[in-house]
Amino acid sequence: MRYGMTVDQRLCVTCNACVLACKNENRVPEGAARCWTAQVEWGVFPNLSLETRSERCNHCENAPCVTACPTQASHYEAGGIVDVDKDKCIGCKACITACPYEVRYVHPDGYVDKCNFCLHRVTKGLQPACVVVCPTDALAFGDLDDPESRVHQLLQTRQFKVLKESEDTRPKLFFLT
Amino acid sequence: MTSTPDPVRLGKRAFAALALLFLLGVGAGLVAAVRGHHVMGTTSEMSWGLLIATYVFLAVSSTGVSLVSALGHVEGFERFARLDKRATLLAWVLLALGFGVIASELERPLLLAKLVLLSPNPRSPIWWMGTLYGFYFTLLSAQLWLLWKDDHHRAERVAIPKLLFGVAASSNLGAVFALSHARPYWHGPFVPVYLVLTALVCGAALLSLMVYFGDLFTNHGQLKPESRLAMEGLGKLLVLFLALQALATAWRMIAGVAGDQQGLAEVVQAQLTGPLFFSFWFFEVLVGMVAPAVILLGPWRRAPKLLALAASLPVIAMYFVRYNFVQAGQMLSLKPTTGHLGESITYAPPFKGNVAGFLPYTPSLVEVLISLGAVAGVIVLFVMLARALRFEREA
Repeated sequence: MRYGMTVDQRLCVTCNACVLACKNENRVPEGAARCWTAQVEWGVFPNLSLETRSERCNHCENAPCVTACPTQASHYEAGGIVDVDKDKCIGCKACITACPYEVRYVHPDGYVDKCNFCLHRVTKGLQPACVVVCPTDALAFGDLDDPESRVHQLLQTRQFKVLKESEDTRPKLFFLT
Repeated sequence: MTSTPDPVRLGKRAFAALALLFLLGVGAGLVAAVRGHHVMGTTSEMSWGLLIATYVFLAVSSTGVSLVSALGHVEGFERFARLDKRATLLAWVLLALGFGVIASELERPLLLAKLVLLSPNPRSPIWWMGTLYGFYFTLLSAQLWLLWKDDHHRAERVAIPKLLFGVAASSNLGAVFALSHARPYWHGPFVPVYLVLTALVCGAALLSLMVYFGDLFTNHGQLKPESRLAMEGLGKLLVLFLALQALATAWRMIAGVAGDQQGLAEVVQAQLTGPLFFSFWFFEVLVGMVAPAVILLGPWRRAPKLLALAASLPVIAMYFVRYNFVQAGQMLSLKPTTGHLGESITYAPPFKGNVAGFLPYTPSLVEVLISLGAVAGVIVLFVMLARALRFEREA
């Protein structure tokens, strides 16, 4: 089992509903975010194009943050979800400097925090909060190895990309193009 | 008629000022222990700052002092043998204060001491660095104890494993940065080797200062003949180490510019012509390498005061070298508002790291006080412990 997420760039309208849902669900402190949106503009007027997407931790299969963490606070949960055990985090911030995607922040309580695909919901068979609230159904979450799952089917039928492929982190956050 | 200032009186005043700075640093460290990252100038985007640089400065210097003083046991370098006790104490104090600084940087340092054993990650360079420095510190403490007991035979037996752990720890400290693929300026085999090389620069320079000021304050301002010989020898070594540092720095910059590697070229240019221009050219190059080399190679290279000046300059510069190094590795935003292909990116919510150029970082007052307090503490604790352990007699 490998949990992953797809973000349909054709459907994402960067309404930030995912950002707000994540903040509420995970009590993300002010000034920080586990999930955010990006609008990428290409070209020069009048030949312009726009990519819109929702971003978060890439839950890499070869996660540099997990390697860098001296106390195993950053670790792989079942299904390859990269999580932070706040009781083991010493706040050395090695994971922050190791992550090529800059998805982590220091929580006011002194530990490093980031998206964990709403692990507390996933373990109950629920979808992450961002997926539930997305009004355009741009986000899909599930087992990448399960042929019946929506993420598996989307990746079979659609073209996709991952961020910073050259880092060889094998991300499990896929952007459908 | 002008009177020559009494070096002992001047020394006492300087010691009082340094002790005050040290106490301020301890106070700032306590503030950091209670308030954590809230009192730091670091951000989630620029997460390592002045305190990491200070830790690198102190910990690597400790290895350098151990390495260079060990030459006293090599044929032809006997003139350094009499520095053994004080050099071991200096290396111990440097590392002890380095640990103090890194403890104030960590959010939960006591948890590290527990989890490094109970939940170790042997794939983590930080785990290796901490473990190796732990062994090095233990052996350093053992050697200090044996030297205090005048058990030189057993102290020498401890010295070799201590040196091995010291070098391994310093190069592993380099690996903490060098294995970070996301940061091109740090990534690669250069940094672990460079840290050991610059450890030698710090070692030769600090030992020279230790000899000079040791005599200045305990021998009525006069340099003993054997101290002069030691300083001249250390000066020659320092020239060699500085030449190697200059060579490494030059190739680092040439490779950075000529290689045109994304994420590296920009940072190298930031040092050559950008925001780190002054810090690089003035401190790292002029103060750190050119000026001491000119003094040490010139006709005045036998003047004790100038030898001391030539030794102090690379130490001051090394503080900036470490700061530049830590800052340069993180100064390029990983979520910039302009992409590598010229695309414009807007993030919501916006973060401090969403900038078109380089990320800003200004150390907070707490960070500055901890850092300067630790440096002052090296001198204060060294002088106090040397007196308490009666190591001054060696001088």
